[in-house]
Amino acid sequence: MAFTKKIMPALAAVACLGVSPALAEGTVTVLSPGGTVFAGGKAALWGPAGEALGIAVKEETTDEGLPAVRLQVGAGNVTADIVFLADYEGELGGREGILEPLDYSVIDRSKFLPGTTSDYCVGVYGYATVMAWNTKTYSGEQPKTWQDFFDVEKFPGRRAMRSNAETQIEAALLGDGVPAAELYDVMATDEGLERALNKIRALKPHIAVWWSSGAQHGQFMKDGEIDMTTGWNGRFEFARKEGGAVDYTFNQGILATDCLAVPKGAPNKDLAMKMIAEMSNARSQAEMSKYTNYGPVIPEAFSIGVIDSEAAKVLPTNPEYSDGLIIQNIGWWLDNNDRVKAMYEDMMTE
Amino acid sequence: MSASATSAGTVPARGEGRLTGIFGPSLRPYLGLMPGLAIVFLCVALPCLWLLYLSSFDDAGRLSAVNYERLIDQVSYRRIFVTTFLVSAQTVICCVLLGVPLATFIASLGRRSAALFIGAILFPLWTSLLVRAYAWLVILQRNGLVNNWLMSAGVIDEPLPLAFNTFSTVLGMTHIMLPIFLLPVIGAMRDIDRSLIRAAASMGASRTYTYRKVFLPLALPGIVAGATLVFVMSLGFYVTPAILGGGNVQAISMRIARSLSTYSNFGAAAAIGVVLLLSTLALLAVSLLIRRLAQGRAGGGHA
Amino acid sequence: MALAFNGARPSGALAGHADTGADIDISGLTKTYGDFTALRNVDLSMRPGEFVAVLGSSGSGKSTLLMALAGFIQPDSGSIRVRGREVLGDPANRRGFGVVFQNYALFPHMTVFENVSFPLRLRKIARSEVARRTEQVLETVKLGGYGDRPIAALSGGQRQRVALARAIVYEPQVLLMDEPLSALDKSLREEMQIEIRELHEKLHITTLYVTHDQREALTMADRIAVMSKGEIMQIDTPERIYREPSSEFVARFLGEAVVFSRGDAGRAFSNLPPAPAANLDLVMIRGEDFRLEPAAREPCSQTTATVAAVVFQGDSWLARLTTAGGLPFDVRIQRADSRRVASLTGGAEVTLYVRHEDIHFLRVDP
Repeated sequence: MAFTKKIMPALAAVACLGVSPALAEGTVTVLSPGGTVFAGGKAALWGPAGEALGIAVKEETTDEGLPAVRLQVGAGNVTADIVFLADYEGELGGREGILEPLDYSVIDRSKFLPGTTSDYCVGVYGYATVMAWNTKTYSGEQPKTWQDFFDVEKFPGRRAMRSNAETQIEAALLGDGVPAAELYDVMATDEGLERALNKIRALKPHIAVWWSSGAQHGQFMKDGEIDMTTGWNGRFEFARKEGGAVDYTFNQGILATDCLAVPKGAPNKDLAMKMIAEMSNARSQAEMSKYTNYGPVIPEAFSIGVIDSEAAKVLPTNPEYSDGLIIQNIGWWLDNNDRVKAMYEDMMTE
Repeated sequence: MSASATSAGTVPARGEGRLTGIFGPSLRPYLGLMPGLAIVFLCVALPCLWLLYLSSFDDAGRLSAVNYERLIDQVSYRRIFVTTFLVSAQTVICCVLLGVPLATFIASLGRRSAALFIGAILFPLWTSLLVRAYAWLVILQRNGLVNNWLMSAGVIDEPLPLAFNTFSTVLGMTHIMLPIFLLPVIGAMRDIDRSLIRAAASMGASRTYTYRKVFLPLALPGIVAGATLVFVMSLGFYVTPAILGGGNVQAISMRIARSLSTYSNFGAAAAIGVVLLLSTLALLAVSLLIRRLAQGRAGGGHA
Repeated sequence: MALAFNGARPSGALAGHADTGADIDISGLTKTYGDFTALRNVDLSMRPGEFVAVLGSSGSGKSTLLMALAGFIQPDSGSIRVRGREVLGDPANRRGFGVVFQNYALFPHMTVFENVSFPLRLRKIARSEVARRTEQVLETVKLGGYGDRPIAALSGGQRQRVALARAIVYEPQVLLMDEPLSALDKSLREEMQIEIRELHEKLHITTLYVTHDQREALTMADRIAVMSKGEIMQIDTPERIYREPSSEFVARFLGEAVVFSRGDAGRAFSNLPPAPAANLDLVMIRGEDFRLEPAAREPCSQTTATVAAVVFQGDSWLARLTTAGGLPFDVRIQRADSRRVASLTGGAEVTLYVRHEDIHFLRVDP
C-alpha cells in the first residue's frame, strides 16, 4: 500500500513527460508512419506545435494510414485526430467520406505551393518521380529530359520503369514532347493515353525490369543493373551517397506529396485543425527536411536560412527547380486509375 | 399402387433399429467425425464461400458480376493466368527432372545418410523466401557472379540476360519447391519393396531396365503427388516471381496483392481468387482422372 | 548364355568340367557381418537336375547362402562355380538363375501376364514368342486364363504360382527358392509342395530350396542340407539324414529324438548293443522307434519306465516317461499299438523295446 501511494504520483509524472506540461488545453492523437518521418515529425512538426499551443500530443505509428482510418471510421471508434496520408489517399479518403473537410479559415492555404493542398488534406512534404542514370554508362553527355529517357539511339542501355501506370504515363507523354502545361489535357483524351502507352511500347524491348518498390530501383541503380530508370528522388540520392555511379535530375520531376488529414468524427477535431495550422509553417517544414529527402511544400522554407544551399540541391521543391517541376494531378488519377492501370497492364503483359 | 403398399409394409421392419434417436445407430459411427468436419468447414469451406461472396459485389456494394466481367474483358488477366500456369508447369518439370534422380539417390542410401541428406534438403526451408530470391539476384544479375565469371573467363562479351525473366523465376521457384517435391517422392521410393528390384535383377534385367520398368512406375504415385503439390503451391507464389521476375513475369498473386494494397478492391481480388481456385480444382480433377485411367489400364492388362 | 531345357534333363557332360559332373559347386563360402558369421566355410555341390533343400532355423545362414548364390550378397571368400565356371564376379542379372522370393516379389503394377513375361520381354524376344511361352508356363502352373488379372486380385496360392512361373519362364539353369511357401496356410502349403515337386520332376531344373520346415524338406528334396550358425551340419538324402543323423543337433532338428549319454543309457537299458567307435558317447533313439512289445526276430534292447502322462495326437499318442534313474523322455506310440495304450496310465510301469538297428550312437557336438 505504502509503496503504491508513493509510486503512483511518480508514475503519473513520468507519463506526463511526453506531454506539454503547460496549459494542457487538450490532447490530440497523431497517426504517422514510423522511421525518419516520425523522428522528423516529432522534432519539427507536432512537437513544437503542441508546445506552442499547449496541446498534449499522443503518438501512434502505422505504415497503412488510409486503411487505419477506414477501420477506425468504419468501426465508429475514431481515436486518431491527425493522420499522415499520401496525397492520393487524402483525395480518395475525402471521396469515401471518411475524412473531415479541412477548415481553411484556420489553416492558411496561400503559403503553399499550388496543388499541394486539397479539401481534405494539406501537404507536409513532397517527393518527385524523376529520371536517374548510370554515370559510367553515360559518361559523356548526360540525359536531361524524359525525351532523352525514351531515346535509345542517343542513350542506349537497359531501362526500368514502374509496374504501375501512375507517373509513368506523365513521363511517357513528356518524353513524347508534350509540354508540361498541356500534360493533363492530353492525358484526359483516349488518344493521349494511347500515345503514352505507345511511347512505352516502343521502349519495351529495352525495359529489363518493371520495378514495384523504391527499394528495388534504388538497388538497381546502385548495382549498375539498370542504366536508366524512373523512380523516387530520395532513393537515388541515397544510392549516390552509398557510392553508386548514379545521377538524376529534377527537371520534369513529377511531384507528389504526403499530407495531413483529419479522420471523420475525430474526437478533437477543432484542436486538430489548430495543430495542422500551427504545423504548417516554413520553419517547421524546413526543419523536417533535415530528417528526410522530402522537400517542404511551403516555398518560404527555402529562404529563411534553415536549409543551406547544398542541402537544398537534393530537395525536389527547391524554388530553383520550380520551372521544371510538375505537380501531379491526383484528382485525375483517382478518376481514371482503374481504366489506365488496366490499359497499362495489358501493355506490360503483351 | 400395390407395390408401394408392400414396400410401405416392409419399411418399418427394416427401419426399426435405426430410429432409436436423432442419430440412429447407422449414423452413430460418423458422429466422431463431426469435430473434424467442423474444422474443415471453418478452415476450408467457409473462407472459400466468403471469397465467393466478396467477389459478387461491385464497388458500390450492389450484387454484380462486374468483377468476373473484368477478368474476361481485360486481356492482361488472361495473360497473367497463362503466365502463372506456365511458370508453375515449368517449375514442376524442373522439379521432376532434378528431383527424381536426387530422390532415387537418397532413397538408395542407408537410414543414417538418408536422414542427413533429407535434413540438408529441408534446411533451406527454414531460410526466408526473400533472402533466397535476393541471393539468386546476386548470382544472376547483370553484374552478378555468373556474368562476371563468364566475362572474365572470356566466354561471353556481353552479360547474359539471366535475371528478371521466366528463367530466373523458374530457377528461384524450383529452388524453393524442390524440397517439397522431394519429400513425397523419397517417401514413395523408400516404400518400394527392395525384393522387387532383386527379383528384376534375378530375371536378368539391367539396372536401367529395372529402373524404368519397375522402380519408376512404383514411385509414380509419389512423383504425381509431389508434382501436384508443387504445381498448386507454385500457382500462389508471390515473393519469388515479384523479385526474380522483375515485372516481366506477372503472377496472379502479385495481381491480387496490387488490387488489395493500393486500391482495397476486395471484390476484384476475391474474383481472381475464386477463378484461381476453380481452375486449380479443375486441374486436380483432370490429374485424378488421368491417374484413374492409368490404374484402370494397369488393371485391364494386355490384349 | 541361358541354356534351353525343353523339359529334358540336361546332360552333365558339358565341355571342360566333367570332373565332378556337378551343376553347382560351392566351396569355402564365408560371409561375416562384423562379429556375426552368416556363412562359415560352406561347401555344397549339386548335381544337374537335383533338388536340394537347405533346412535351418532363422539366423542359420540358409537365406544368406541363397542370396550369395543369386548374387545379392557378395561373400568374403570362397567360390561358386556353375558348370565349372566361376560366377562370383557376375552381377545378379548375369547369373541366369530363377529366383522365387519369400514374399513372391511380384510387380504390383503389372498383370499376371506382364509379371510372367517380364524376363522374356527384357530379352528382346519376339512378341508372339513371348506370348506363347508365357501362356504355356501359365498353363504349367495351372494359371491358364489368368493373364489379365492384376496381382492384387490373386489369392496367396495363385501369387505363389505366378512367382514360380516367372522364375521358370526363361528356362534358367538353376532355380533358387527362398521359403516360397511360408506365407501359405498348412493345407495349401502341402498341396503346393507336391505341385512344385511334380514340376521339378517334369523340368529337372537344378533347385536350391530354402526352408525352415523339416517336413517340407523331407517331402520335396533329393538331398537336404541342414544348416546351423552359418555351417552345413550334414548333407544327405532325406531318409539317411533322418535315420542316420551325424550329430545331436541334426537328430533333434529333424523329428523327435531321445538322447541319453552312453552311461545313462547303459543304466536304463538292458541288452544295449556296443558302440561302433569309442568316441560315440551319445545314444539316440527316435521317439517312434520305441515299441510296447519286442520285435519277433530282431535283437532288441529294453527299458522299464514310469508313465508320467499320455496325450492323444490323432495319428499317434505322445507319452512322457521317466527312466528308473529319473530321466524324462518322450516316446510316440503308433496307432498299430493302440490296443496296448490302455495300459499306459499315469504312475504305471511299462517296459519298452527298441530294435538294435534303431539305436544310434553319436558324437557329442563340439
